Amino acid sequence: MDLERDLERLAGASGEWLRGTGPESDIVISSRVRLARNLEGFPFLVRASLGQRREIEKVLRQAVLEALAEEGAMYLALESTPELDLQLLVERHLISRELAQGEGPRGVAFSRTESIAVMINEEDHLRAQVLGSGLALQECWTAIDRLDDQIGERHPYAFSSTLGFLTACPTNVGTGIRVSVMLHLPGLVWTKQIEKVFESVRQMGLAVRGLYGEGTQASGDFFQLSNQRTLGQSERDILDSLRSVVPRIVAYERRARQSLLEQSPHQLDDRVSRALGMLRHARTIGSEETMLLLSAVRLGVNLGLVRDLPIGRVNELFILTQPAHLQKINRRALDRDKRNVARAEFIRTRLNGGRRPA
Amino acid sequence: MNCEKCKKRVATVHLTEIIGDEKREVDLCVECAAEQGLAVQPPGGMELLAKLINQQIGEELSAMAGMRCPSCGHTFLAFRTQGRLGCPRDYEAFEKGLGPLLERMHGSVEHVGKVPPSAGEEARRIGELNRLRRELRHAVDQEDFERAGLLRDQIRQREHSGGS
Repeated sequence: MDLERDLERLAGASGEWLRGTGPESDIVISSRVRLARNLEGFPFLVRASLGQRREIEKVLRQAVLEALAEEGAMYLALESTPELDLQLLVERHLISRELAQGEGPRGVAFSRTESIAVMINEEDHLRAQVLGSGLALQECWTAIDRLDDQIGERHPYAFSSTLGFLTACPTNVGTGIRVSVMLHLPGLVWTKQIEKVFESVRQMGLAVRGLYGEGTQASGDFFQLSNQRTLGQSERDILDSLRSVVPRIVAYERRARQSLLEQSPHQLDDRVSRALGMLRHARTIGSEETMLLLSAVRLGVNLGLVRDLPIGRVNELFILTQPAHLQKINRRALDRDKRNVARAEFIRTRLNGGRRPA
Repeated sequence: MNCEKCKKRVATVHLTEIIGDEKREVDLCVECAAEQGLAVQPPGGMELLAKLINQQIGEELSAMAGMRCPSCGHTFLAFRTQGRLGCPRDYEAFEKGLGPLLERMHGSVEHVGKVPPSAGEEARRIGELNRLRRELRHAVDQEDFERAGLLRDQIRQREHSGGS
């Protein structure tokens, strides 16, 4: 397998979970369920010797690839992977920053569609995730539950009947589950109601984070909502709590969008149109500005203010315009200034189709 | 910060004076504040009690910090500084320190979720029991006594099957 060519192929398009299909996908970009697991008979990674880490990687790599045999899975050993490739995988949500910055034997397996990704030797021996487009938590859970059984059959997990799955950090012990949804909430941000919504969400024991999870800033009106507790609640309870909260937030967002349409239609149209104009004509543009403008365009597409621009293409741009992707697409290393030029050019070619309604 | 008046003792009384349009900050020690006729509570019963509790907690904490996992050698102190445990056995070895932490984080110290196929019959039975007990508590909270009765019977039945 030619790694270089595979990663270049990856960089040209996005994973299936960004296609913009699935329920509520105008607001819920994606759903994700991840499980943290450790092998019985090995220490956690802070206490594992190099030999043990190598053994864990070997055992899990085999178990994971067997379990993903029908998914056309690809495995990348990350021990000597170049920085740029690691960053590409982070930008695609296939690996975490922690795994990218880690050391020693570690890797990631992912399915052809990129809906399934399994990290080996991150904080825990195993971190498996399933991503789905739109609000699809049940589908994600069903898929990961099966994968978990298949891997667990091949090597027993560290498990206690009182504390559940034992993890390197006690914040994950029990179910080891993190259920999250990525939300696009420009209506609530623009009408300044977002903090109020988040406050009530936090009171329900859910966490709000930025686009790339833990410790990241929210940008471009995107937010990640996830459970915090993993012990004393079953997987079903946790899924249910998100399944009950998300539709309410979706309803608030719809109401906010409606009030923008009714109360300040010209300002809204202006903001969307200017954003589209900037993206279509800019000759150099930074990633932060790109996020904000794309957010406005995405809202415009969903409200019918911009036509002939598929939502999937807008979604894709959020990933494909990031630094590592731009460099892979251009097949060379680019400094910040050159990246900004390349980004503007790439966006121009991709946004050709979009036009304003007559 | 030292007291503005005596310039010796630590200032623990911080005062904002507003005279007319002028605002002035004054930092004094307890003694100098008392001399100026400012009401400052002398250390009373509550403070003594707090001191005693802190002392006891301090002793317990230092005992916990010394806890070491016999299996991997990780210490509780290392966990507190790095935030990562050394091996699955740490959960037993550090039970005294981790228990309250788990309670605070998760509001529970009892797993009620998935039991992996590899965990065996006994673990599945315990998992099922935990789930039923939790449902029983919920039913009692909701004053659904009919359901509570059913759950209680199911729990008894399973407890019994474990003993035989």
